[in-house]
Amino acid sequence: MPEPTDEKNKMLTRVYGISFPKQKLLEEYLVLLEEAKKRDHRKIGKEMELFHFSTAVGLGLPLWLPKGAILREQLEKFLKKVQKKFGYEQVITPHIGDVSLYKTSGHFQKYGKDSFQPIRTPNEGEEYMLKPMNCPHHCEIYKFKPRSYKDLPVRMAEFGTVYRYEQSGELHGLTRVRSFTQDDAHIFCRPDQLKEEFLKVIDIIFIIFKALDFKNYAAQISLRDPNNKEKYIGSDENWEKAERAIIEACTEKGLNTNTELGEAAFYGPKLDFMIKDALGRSWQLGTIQVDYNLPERFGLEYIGADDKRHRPVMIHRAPFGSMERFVAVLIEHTAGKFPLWLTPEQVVVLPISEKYNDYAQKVSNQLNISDIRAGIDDRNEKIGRKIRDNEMKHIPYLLIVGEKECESNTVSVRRQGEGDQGSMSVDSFAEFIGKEVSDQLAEAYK
Amino acid sequence: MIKITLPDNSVKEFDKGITGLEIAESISSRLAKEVLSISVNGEVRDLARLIDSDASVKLLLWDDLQGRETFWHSSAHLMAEAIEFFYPGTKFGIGPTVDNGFYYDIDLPEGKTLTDKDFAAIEQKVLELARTKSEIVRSDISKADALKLFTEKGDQLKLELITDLQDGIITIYKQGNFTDLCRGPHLPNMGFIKAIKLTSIAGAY
Repeated sequence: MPEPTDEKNKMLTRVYGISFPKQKLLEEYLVLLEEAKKRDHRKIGKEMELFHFSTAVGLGLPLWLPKGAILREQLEKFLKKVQKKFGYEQVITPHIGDVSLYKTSGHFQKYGKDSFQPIRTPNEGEEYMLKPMNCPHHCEIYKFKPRSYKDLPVRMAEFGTVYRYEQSGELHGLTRVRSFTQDDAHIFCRPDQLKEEFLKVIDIIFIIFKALDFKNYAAQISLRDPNNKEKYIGSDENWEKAERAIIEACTEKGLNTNTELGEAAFYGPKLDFMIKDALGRSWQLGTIQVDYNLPERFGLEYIGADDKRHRPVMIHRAPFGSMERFVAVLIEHTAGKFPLWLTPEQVVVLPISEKYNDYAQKVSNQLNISDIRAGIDDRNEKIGRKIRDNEMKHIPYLLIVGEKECESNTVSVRRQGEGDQGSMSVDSFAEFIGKEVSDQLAEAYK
Repeated sequence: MIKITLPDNSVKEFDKGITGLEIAESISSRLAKEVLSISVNGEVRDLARLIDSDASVKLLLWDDLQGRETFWHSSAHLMAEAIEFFYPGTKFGIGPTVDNGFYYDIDLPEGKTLTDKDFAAIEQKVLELARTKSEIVRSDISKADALKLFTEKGDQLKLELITDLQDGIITIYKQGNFTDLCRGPHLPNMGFIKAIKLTSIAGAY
């Protein structure tokens, strides 16, 4: 901290407290606080070896460890599959872009001064920026060929990594970082398609909430200030249409919403989703944002049924928000007990003694071939200890193998929280767990 | 008579100059016991303030975020009174509410320190003061009087704050032996506070 320079900047002591109208409420709060500490994603992330921060790499730059990478990959795979069903197409764009691109988009004006500085090249005057957003690249993809009204909507998705220089005091685990990957997509559509597209994005968000067991959620509709219309870009008619589309879509979906006037961005109204986790804490997750600004700035067009040029509307949406933030919320919500389909290690094979290590390895290989994520615990420890340690790590299935199992090509199955499930052939176990995973996902897609 | 619209859109007529507490009493005695503050046309106010014209109101309880904010704001003042008891001469900065509770920025007298080891004693004192149910009284004073008051207290921090204020009239709140510059709103009295926990301490500029 800097030395105080005058009376005004004198260091003060800040004392924090909380109070209640009933002693019982305080006691409940303290239990919750204790539980929140246990669920701190930074603590669990370390214990489960999901991610790591190294000062040698830099503040706020997360390193995803092998198990964290699996977790992230599963989430991406899941969302990609859902999005495919809803007509999205994946694209891939570079991590940098010419400074002029961000001058066109307006991001340079917003992020330029306070964020990572442009990268120079051996060419005098040539400058690139680490991308703070994926949208400009996607606008250029939209423009690469002429679009007709029949082509719309175009739904372009990318797990795009962006870079923003957050103040070091603001950094916090995975929730505030300097590099993060958005589950980004941009929908380019006609104004009359807005409502339909909102309905579809809400459906995607519902599928995610269901698959990850977020039961308690609400949404905020942010509209423009009706007394200050000149503050906003885009025609009056389009704003009215878009606002009506959002409100109607929410009503049709039976969403619990509150509406805030004047909270819209200058370039369009939006819908934000808030979830409550298992401890009743609120987190802001995905956003669906209408944008009249970028299509204007990039001169995006489509040829209408009238053979004339029209401006498409753009929707930005990221149901997870970012992979980093979402994983943090998920850890704090589940305390690291992820659903079977998502958990990095679904099965650990435990040989009773060293003699059965080879058989354990064989079982694990066989499961991995069937797309089941299995490992083995061949430490020279007593079986009781191995069971305890792996249960602590929230491994859903433990397979115990000894002489009997080795001879009959079977495994003894233990389910986390349910204990001994009897023995099974390796094939039937693979089939059994495979079905449990596909049932879980089918339930969410329903 | 003035028309008071309640959140369920029902309209009740009252004499001009009714207070929030009287509105609560007209509904139920239980509500009158639990209500913390009142939102009048969207502005949160003390229950004792008079309502002079037609208004939409909402009586705020612990379950309302704004009700909790009133509760925590008063709690911050009570904590400040307890701290002043143990550390006479302490100067007080701002004492706002946060997501879960409140804080107060304090400037301890020369040579004094406060650590988390002192929390228990302060908490006990807060509860002891709360049991006296001291009333929280709002008054409007002129900028000149405010400057005089805080010059007497020797509170440089507050003098700076007041000097920066534009308003001709300045609001102060007083409870027991503690007076502070504050916009409010506050609880009717400190008796509502039944439990308190000091959670952490940090440096601030």
